[in-house]
This record gives sequence, C-alpha cells and structure tokens, in this order.
Amino acid sequence: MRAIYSLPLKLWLPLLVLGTFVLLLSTMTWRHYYDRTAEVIKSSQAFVIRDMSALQREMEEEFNSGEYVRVGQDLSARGTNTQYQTLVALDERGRILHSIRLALKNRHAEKVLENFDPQRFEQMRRYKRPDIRLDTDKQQIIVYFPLRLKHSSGEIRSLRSGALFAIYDLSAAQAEIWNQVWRASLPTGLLLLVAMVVLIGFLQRFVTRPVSHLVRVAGLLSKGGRVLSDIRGSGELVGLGEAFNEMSEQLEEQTEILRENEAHYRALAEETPVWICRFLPGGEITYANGTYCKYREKNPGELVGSSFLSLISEADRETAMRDLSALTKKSPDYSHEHQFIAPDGEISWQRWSTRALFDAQGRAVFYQSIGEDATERKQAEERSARFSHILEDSLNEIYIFDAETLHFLEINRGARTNLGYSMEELKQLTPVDIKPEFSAEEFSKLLVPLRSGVEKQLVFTTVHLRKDGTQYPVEVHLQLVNEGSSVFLAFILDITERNQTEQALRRAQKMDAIGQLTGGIAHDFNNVLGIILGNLELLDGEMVAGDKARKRLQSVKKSAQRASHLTKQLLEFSRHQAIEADISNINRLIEEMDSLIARAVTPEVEVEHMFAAELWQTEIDRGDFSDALLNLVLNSRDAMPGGGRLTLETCNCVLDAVYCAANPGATPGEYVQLAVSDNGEGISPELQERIFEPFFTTKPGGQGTGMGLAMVYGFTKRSDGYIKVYSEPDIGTTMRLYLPRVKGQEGASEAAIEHAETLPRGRECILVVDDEAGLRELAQESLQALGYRILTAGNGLQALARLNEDPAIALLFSDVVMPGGLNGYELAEKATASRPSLKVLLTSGYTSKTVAHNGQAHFNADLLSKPYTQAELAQQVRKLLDGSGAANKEQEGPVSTSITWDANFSVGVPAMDADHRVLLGLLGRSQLAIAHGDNSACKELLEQLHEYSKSHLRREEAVMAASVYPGLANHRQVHRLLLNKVEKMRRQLQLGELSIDDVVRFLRIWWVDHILGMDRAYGAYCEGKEEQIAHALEQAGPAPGQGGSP
Amino acid sequence: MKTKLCGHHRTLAGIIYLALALLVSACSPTPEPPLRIGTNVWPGYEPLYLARSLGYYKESSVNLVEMTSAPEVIQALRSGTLEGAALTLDEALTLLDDELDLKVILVMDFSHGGDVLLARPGIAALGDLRDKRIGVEQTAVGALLLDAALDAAGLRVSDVEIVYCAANEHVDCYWSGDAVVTFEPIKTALLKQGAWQLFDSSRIPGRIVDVLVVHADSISTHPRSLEYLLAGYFKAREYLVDAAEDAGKRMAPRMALSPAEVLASFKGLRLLGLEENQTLLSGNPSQLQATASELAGFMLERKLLRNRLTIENLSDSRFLPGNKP
Repeated sequence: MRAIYSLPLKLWLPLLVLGTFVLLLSTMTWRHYYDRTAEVIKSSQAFVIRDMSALQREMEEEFNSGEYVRVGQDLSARGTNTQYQTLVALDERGRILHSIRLALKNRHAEKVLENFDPQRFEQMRRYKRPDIRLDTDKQQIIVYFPLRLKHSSGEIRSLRSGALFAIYDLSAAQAEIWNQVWRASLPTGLLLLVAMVVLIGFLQRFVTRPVSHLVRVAGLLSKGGRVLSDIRGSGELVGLGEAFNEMSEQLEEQTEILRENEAHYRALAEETPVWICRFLPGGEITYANGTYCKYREKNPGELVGSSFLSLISEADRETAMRDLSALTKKSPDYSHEHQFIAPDGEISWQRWSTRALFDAQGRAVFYQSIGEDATERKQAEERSARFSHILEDSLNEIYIFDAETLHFLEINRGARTNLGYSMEELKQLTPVDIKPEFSAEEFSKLLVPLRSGVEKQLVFTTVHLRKDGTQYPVEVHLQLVNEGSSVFLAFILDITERNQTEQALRRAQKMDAIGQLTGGIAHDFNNVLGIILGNLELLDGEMVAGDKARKRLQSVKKSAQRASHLTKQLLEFSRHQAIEADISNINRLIEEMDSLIARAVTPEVEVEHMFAAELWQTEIDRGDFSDALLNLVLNSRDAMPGGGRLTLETCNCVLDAVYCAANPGATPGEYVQLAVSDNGEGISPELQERIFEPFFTTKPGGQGTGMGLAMVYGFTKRSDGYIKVYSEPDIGTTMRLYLPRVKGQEGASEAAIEHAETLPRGRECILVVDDEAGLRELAQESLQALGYRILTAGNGLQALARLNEDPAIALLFSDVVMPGGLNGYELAEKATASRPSLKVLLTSGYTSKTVAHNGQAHFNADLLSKPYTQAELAQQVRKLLDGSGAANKEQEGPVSTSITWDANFSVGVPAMDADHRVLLGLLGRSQLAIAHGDNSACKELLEQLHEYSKSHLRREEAVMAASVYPGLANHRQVHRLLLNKVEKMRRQLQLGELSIDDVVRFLRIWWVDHILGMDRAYGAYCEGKEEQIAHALEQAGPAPGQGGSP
Repeated sequence: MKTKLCGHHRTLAGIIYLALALLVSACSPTPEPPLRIGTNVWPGYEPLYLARSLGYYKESSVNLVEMTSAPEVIQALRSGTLEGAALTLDEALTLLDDELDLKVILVMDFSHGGDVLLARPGIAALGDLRDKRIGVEQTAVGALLLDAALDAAGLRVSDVEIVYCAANEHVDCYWSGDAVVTFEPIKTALLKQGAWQLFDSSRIPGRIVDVLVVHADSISTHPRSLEYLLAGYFKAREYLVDAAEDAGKRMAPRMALSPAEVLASFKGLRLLGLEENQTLLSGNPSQLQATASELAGFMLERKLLRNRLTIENLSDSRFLPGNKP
C-alpha cells in the first residue's frame, strides 16, 4: 500500500486500468482454457476407451485364431500415437507380453512401469471391468483394460485373463490448448487495450490533470506562494479547487502570523543570553544561536556543519559521546559541564543541558543543547571552596550562628577540635552554651549594639567551655553579616598562650624593674659602705691595739662588711655586679661539689646525676655558679621535708625563636642546660610569680633571707642566660638554667687573687678619677698610705688635663660611670691613645649602664669591682704597675690556692667567724704540712681539727637554735653526716685506704662549701639576737683552746 | 497561473506498450508437433535407440516408434501415422513406386553379412535348396538376397517354394520350412540354434542399404526435430565406439541378445559416418541417387517394382550436423 501511495496519480491510475485489463483478459483466457481442457480430457477418455476396446477385440480374436504374430503388430502399431506413453499387454501374472517399447517385453510391469498399480491390476482382472482414471494433476489417463489371453492347452475357452495397461499423455494436448487459447484471446485483448487507452486518456483529462493541478497549487501554497486554482465548472474537484483558494487565503493570513511569531521566537532564541545549539547524532551542528556565535566570535556559517565535539576539550569528548549515546526516550536529558580551551589557550567552563529527540524507532534524530558560560560561576565556586577550605583549616576558631535562634550554623575544624564537639553536636548549641561567663540574657544584651548597627564589630575576652568541662581564655571578634539572612560571624582567638606569654613578660619586666631598683639602691649603698669601710680601715690603722674604741670599731667594721656583702648580693641579683667569668664545664663543677651537695641535703633525699657527655662549655663565674647550684639544691631540699629525689641534669640545648617568643627574657642560641628537679611539694603559680624577688621567702620568719633564688636569678642574668621554673603543686619542681655556650679552653681566664698579709707598696704616681669625692679621697688615702704619689680628678676632662700636665703618671685609676661627658672607658681610651705605656685600672659598681664599646673591652680585664678593699686595690695596682695585668696572666699560669679566712666567709656572728678562722687556719697548716711532706704533723693537725670541729659544730647549733634558724634540723643533719664521714675517713686513713692528702682536700672543700653555702644562711637570723647567742655559747662551752690561737 | 503537466503522454505510451508486450508474449512460437520415426529391429537402426536411451532426445519432439517388422513400418509410413522411418533403400523405392513423396536424409549402413540365407542343418550348399521351402519377408531386401542366392546357386524362383513371413515370424518359419532369408538379430539367434549360413549380404556389397526417410512435407513442419534426430544419432554412434560396453548393455534388451552378441551383430554391417553421408547425400544428383536408380532398374527387372521410377531430389543433406537446414 505504501508503494501505491508513493506513486504519482498519473502513473498509478493507468496502472490500475492496466491491472484491471490484465485481470479481465486472464480470467477470460483461463476460463476458455479450462473449458477446452475439460473437453479434451473428456474426448481423450472416450478415444482411449474406444481404442482399447478395439485393440482388445483385435488381440483376443488373434489369440483365438492363433495369429499370435499379429497380436504384437496390432499393439506396436499404436506406438505411432505418441500420446501413448506406455502401452503394454500383460499376462495374468503381470508379465509384459507385448509393448510399444520392445525392451520391456517379457519383463514384469510392476518392476519396469512407473505408474503401474498391481492392486488396480488385480481388481480389474477380478471384475473384468476397465479401469480408466485421470491422474491427480490431470496430465495423464491411466487405463487398465481386461484382455483374454490365448487359451491354454485343454481349455475350450480361454480362462486366462490378462490386461492392457496404457498411460495416455495429455500434457502435449494441454500445451497445445494453451497456445490455441492465447491465440484466440488476442482479438479480445486488442479490443480491451483500445478500451483501456481510451479510459486512461479520459482519466488523465478529467481526474489526473485537475488533481495534479491541485497538488501543484497545494505545493506552491506550502512554499508560501499565493496561487489560485483555475479549474472551471462544477463538481467535486472544482469544489476542492475553491476550497484550496479559500485555504490559500487563510494560509496566507496564518502564515503571516506564523512568520511574525517565528521572527519573534527566532529573535528570542538568537538574543537569549543562553547558548542554543542543535546537532546531529554524529556531532554535526545544524544550528547555533547568535549568542553562542558571538561568544565564539564566529559566523553561524562557520559553526553550522562543524562538530559539536570541537566545542569540548579533547579529554571530555569520549565521556560526552558516551553519555549522549546513553540517552533514551525515557531519559532524554543530560547535563554536563566541561572545559573549553580556546585557541589562545584561555580556559573557560561551559555548562550544557542537552535533550535528545528520537524517531519512532527510538533512534536519536538530533540533540538540542542549551548552554551558558560557567567560567565565572566555576571560578566563584572554586574560590568559595578554597576560601571555605582555608576557613575550615584555620587554627583560629570561626563560628557562624543564626541571628535569631543563635544556633550554630557553621563551625570550623579548629573550633570543633578545641571544643571537643562534633559538628552535629555543635549545631544543637548556641554561643551561650560554650560561654559560661554569659547567661542567655547577657549574651543577647551584648549583641544589641551589633543588631542596631551602632557597632560594626565587638571584641571582648571571655572563656570557652569545652565538652570535657575544661575552659580556656578566648578573644572574641564578633560581627553581624547580612547575607540573605542575618548571621553572626565570630572569630575566636585562643589566648591561653598569649596570656601565658604576657604573664611571663610581665614577670620578666617586674624582675627587671626590681633589678633596676635594687641595683640603683645597692649601688648607692655600696658607695656609702665603701666610704664607711675605707674610713674604718684607716681608723683601725691609726688606733692603738687593745684600745676599747678599737673593739667597737671592729664591731662597726664587721657590720659594715655584712652590709657590703648584702649589697653585693643585691648587685649580683640586679646584674650590676661585674663578674669574673671563666670558661667552664659545669659537669666538672658539679662533680667537685658532690660532697657539698651530699652534705647540704637530708639523708632522706636521694641525689641523682644525669650528665650529658660532651657537654658544651659555658663562661661563668664559678663561684657564683657554685652558690647558685647550692641555693637550688637547698631550695629543693626544703621542698622535700620528708625526703625525695633530687635530680641534677645537664645537657646541651638550643633555644629557638619560637621558644624565646613565648618566654620573654630568653634569647635564641645554644645553651648548656642545668636542671635541678625535685619531687617535692611544688610551687603554686602565684608564688612562681615572686620566687626570684629579693627578700621574698615562704619560709617561717627568720629562716630564710629571701636572697637564695634571687641570687640564682641574678647569676643567670649576669651570665647572659635564662632561667625557667616548672612546677606542679604536690608533684615537684624543676629549675632550668640555660647558660650560653662558649667555645674555648676551660679555665682560660682562671685566676685567683692572691691575698697577702702585707700589702704591696710603691712610689709611682697614680691619677685617681672619681666623681664621688668620698671614694676619690678614700682611694687617695689608701694608696698614699702605701707610698704612692696621688693626683686626683673629679671627671674625665680634668683627668685628661692632669695626664697632660704630669707625664710621671704611671697608672690611671678611674671610675667607669662618671658625669661630664666622658666615662671611664672613653677616658682610658683617650689616655692610652696619647700615652700607650699608661696603665689603666677601672673600677665600677656595675657595668650595665655603661657598656664598653669596640676597642674598650680589654679594659674590663683589670676591672676592680666596687666596693673594693685596700688590699684588693693595692694588689691590683701593684700588679698593673709591675706589668702583670690581665694580658700577662696566662703566661703566669694558675696560682695554687691556699685557704685563708676573709670577709666572704663571714656569717655575721663573730664567735662563729672566729671558729671558722681557726678551722680554716688548721686546714691551711695541714696543707702546708703535706706540702712539706710532714704527714705526722699533718695527722696531728687533723686530730686537732677533728676535735675543734666537734666543738664548733655544737656551738654553731646552739647559735642557730638561739637565733631560731628554721634550717637547724637540716643543718644539724649535715653536721652529723660530716662527723660520720670524718670518723669513716679516719678509719680508712689508718687502714691506708685513703691518703692524708685526700682527707685534707675533702675537708677543705667541705668546710669552704659549708661555710659559704650553709652557714651564711643562718647569719641573717642572728641579727639583734646577740644576747641570746652569747648565752647559748656560754651554755655550749668555750671553743677548744679559746683565748689563744690553736 | 497555467502550468504544463509533463510526461503525461509518455506515461500513457508506456502503459500501452506494456499491454501490447503482454499480448505478444501470448503469441510465442509453438513447439513442433511430434516427429514419429518408425523402425523394426535391425542393428543399423539401434544408434537411434541408443541416443534415446542416453537422453539425447529428451528436450525434443522426436518419438521413436518401435515396430516388429518392416512391412508394419512401411504400412504406417504409407498411412501417414509416421513422419519418417528407417528402411532399406529398396523398401524406400517401393514406397516411391507407390508415389509417396519421401526424402532420404541419412544413409545409416550397408549390409555386409547382416542379411543372410540360413538353412536347416543338412542343407549344406545353395544347390541343395532346390524344391525346398524358403521363408522370406515380403520386402525388396528379402527378394534381393534370395535372388542373389538363387542366382549364385543357379536356381530360379520356380525351383524353390517361397513362403512369405514377417520378420517376427522368421524363427517359426525356419523351423517349419527348410531355409529362411533373415537378418540380425534373428540371424544370431538362429545360428545359435544350429542353422547353417549359405549366403550373406557381403556377397552383394552396396546392394542392401539402410536409409532414414521422411515425408517430404515433414521437412518443413519438423525442421528442428529432424536436426535433433540426426545430431543425436551421430552422438550415439560416437558413444557406441567410445563406450561400446555400456552401449551394448543399453541395446541388449530391445534386441533380446546379450550385450556381447549385440556388439558382435554389428559385424554384419558397416555403419556410415558423417563424412560418408555428406558424400552420398550431397550434390545433384547425389551418389545415393545414382545407387537408387541402379537398384530401381534391378528391382524393375526382377519385378519388384511396378513402374520405372524417375528418381529426382531423393536425398536431403540439410539436416546432417554442420549443415544449415
């Protein structure tokens, strides 16, 4: 049917007529043929019956008459009738007697004849009736005809019944009929042909042509032309033409409307801000709107026909094609974003929504894509994601919470981690839940200025409550952000560390301030004391021995010396004390102090050493270090009244900038660290603030001077080091001292000032420069007393004038800190510039205010610390004048030490000082005896020392008890330890396990350490308790050999 | 607006042409009517049946009608139930004497011992035939051979008793008489039964000729069939040479002999090839025509013909393979 519709009317109408004609002719011919065939069959059947009857008769007669030869001839004569396909005479058994085919003779019909049916043969023989039938396709007449055969011998009448079997072929006859029929139908056919031609002509004229005309008109109409049908007359086609005309007019109107609409929508599509593309399944673009063309900077003609894939980066093409081919009728939409790399390399992002349109078979016909430039959005997303990521990763806490409900909306990881809540948990909370210092009402009130716009941002500090209940201080920066809906944005700084740092800084500043204060006061006091002591010494020299006034003078002198000692400590604390530093290995220094430390602690305290191998060197004042260590050990001991573990640990360490930033006062660099740890009662944070303050003590009244840790602090600062306290109440305390590393030979600057009983004298000219008249005069008198010629100057300029005036000046003795624009260093520099041979001795109470510049530092080598004694001054002056200044010390080598009592050993209790003097004297003599190899004398001396020690210790304990010294028990314990140790050593000495030298060295160190470390501690408690002490001493009994030197 | 409708007349012409073609196809040339060629049984004619057996006539209208004796064939040819027949030349002359318009289109063989005079044992020489009953077919061949034999024996027809019998009666005739003039395959059968051969056609060479004749009008009505007929004949003749054994098997049932006997029977004759036929049949007068005229004279002399025949245009060589009909 479809084929007919696709044919034009002018073709299929004639074909219809032709078909009808053929059908008609065929029907007529077939009918004719059928009738003729039936006739032929009928006549052939009649002929065959007649012919067979005749043959039967002829053959039976010839059988009867015995003319057997004729029998065969009659049958074979029928062979001329070619329609006899087969003709045979059969005997009763079916054997062929005669045949038109001689080859079949004497053979069995059943075997050689194709269509022979033995059953029909037998049936025919039985009933003696001919059997004539048409085969199924009416091509053959098959005949079985009875035939009486020649009689057998003895038969009157032949009873043998044979048959004639024939196949009469009709196919040739039928073919002939067919030919005849066709020939006969020829005239009819021609007649019909003429009729057909006429009919076709008629149809062409009245049907095809008008219809074609209408089709053409319709075609032109469809192309938008205005064509009117011109078919005249009346009839359906004319009516149709008129309808077409009407339709044409309507179409024109509607086309106009459509055109307008089309133009409207085209303009819409062309100018719409989105891109529109249409492309075939192969990717070929069939339409691209103006916006897209503009975006691509191409004409529509350039884009149409190009591949849609060219709009996609190569990497995305395969995916895009796969996704497109996966679209189905049920799911025809597909959205995709991809990169587009322009020829100039610029990367942009495009977003496309594609819809596939399918035909009836479900094949994609074309795709329609609507796209947009997603570059800005993509970049914004990326920026936003990056920003979010940064905010999320920020270590500061960032919160966003709803302005109405105050519920958290977003919380960054820093906040979640610090608070210990998950995001889900936090979203259930409000800021009030984590700010324990605020009630809901207070917090709402806090927000009012932000809500009203009065304030843009609120900054306040508070604490945040963690999930685990702990709190931490924070600084909150809060602002209101209007982004669609109003939210609060809070940036939170965890100020725990900042607070700690600030606290540390405050502490450092306070200590510095205290240092400044005490330093200033101590300096002035020092000067005053210098004058007093100097004058006292001069007075002492002028007085007659045994004078009562001299006794009083001695008492005044002792008090002044104590005051001087205290001042010195204060100066040490305030770092205003000039130091005598040596390069040292503190491991060795600590080892040397082992016994001292062992004595200093109670037996219940276990001392442990953890020394770093290959410890760096540090430049320190060894004496100060020993004092500092002893003070730390004593502090630890006191923190462990019930015993515990004291650990001394050394190591190398490096303080970095971070540590130093968090610990004001520390300077980055390499340090040798000494850590003194105990597991005592610890120090509360409040107390930690003050422990380094001078005179601050937690010990019961009178038991501590409050200068121990202050001394440690001062020592550390003077050594350019740093001290750090770690303490936890009830757990313990660790004090860490960081002493700067130096590179050099240990003991390089080791020197000792030799005390001599007789002060060296001289006659050289010395210029004394000091702005303080008292000190200037004291120095003048002291030196004049020693034989020197003295010139004085009140400031640097005067001094220079004097130097110029008197070339005999051999030594310049000047204070460092002087008014008048020229300090001691500058003066020394100028003086030595013009007179290089001039010796210079500088003196100073402190050095921090006046720093030696480059080229001046070498003057520090022979700096004399204030307050100085006459002996110190005499020694130093003589040394310089003799050319044995600091520059020559190394050549001289170390000077062996001998123990003599000096003011440093003073504990402030004359009776005790006297005892100590005797003890040190005995030790000194013992050393001398050893030096002379006199061991027996030495042993004797040691026995005396032993006896004297026992007596002294008893007396000392009585003094401490009388002065209500809080460390009495401990001190007493140390005394017991010594006595035990000495007893043990005596046995070892006798057994030869120890040399006498060992014993003397031990005792020497022990006593020095003990007097300096422990005994001086109780001195402060003895002030104003002279009577009680005197009474106690009386009770304790006199010292051995009292009233004379032992 | 007026528009021209294109191709209208062309379409109409096309339709008419189509219809006419349909009609003309109905008038295609009709196949030729059956060409009936009758033969009795003689080895010289067997190549025709061998051709049929080999299927050479399957696609043609050629029909071979098998008859038991020559007189039967002549009768059918005369009555017009056959378009052609294989006959001896003398028989053909007999029919010409009866004014039948026949044409010789093929010379099939010369009898060369195939035709014989057989006598009962004891009759050892031709001379012994005096007063004997001699069976003979009422054909010119029979007359020719008997005449030649009597001539050789120095006897006349009146010296013997002539008994006429058809070929299918020769065996009976032999046993009921003393001698019989017969031919293959009866010759072989009787020799097997003890007959003595006194005379044969080899003693009268060229006198007994077998030819294929057709009614002169059949030449115009059955030209293609005649062409087929001769083409098949020569192909079968080649097959007989090339595949003698199979050919013998195929021919045996019709001749009622064994295949070996069939092949042996061909020794009594000489089958003529295409070239010999071209020689014999071509030209005017052709060689065959000369032979026929001579034979007609002899037959007239022996009173085997009634009239003196004027033999013209007897042969037609157009249907020999290679010649254009």
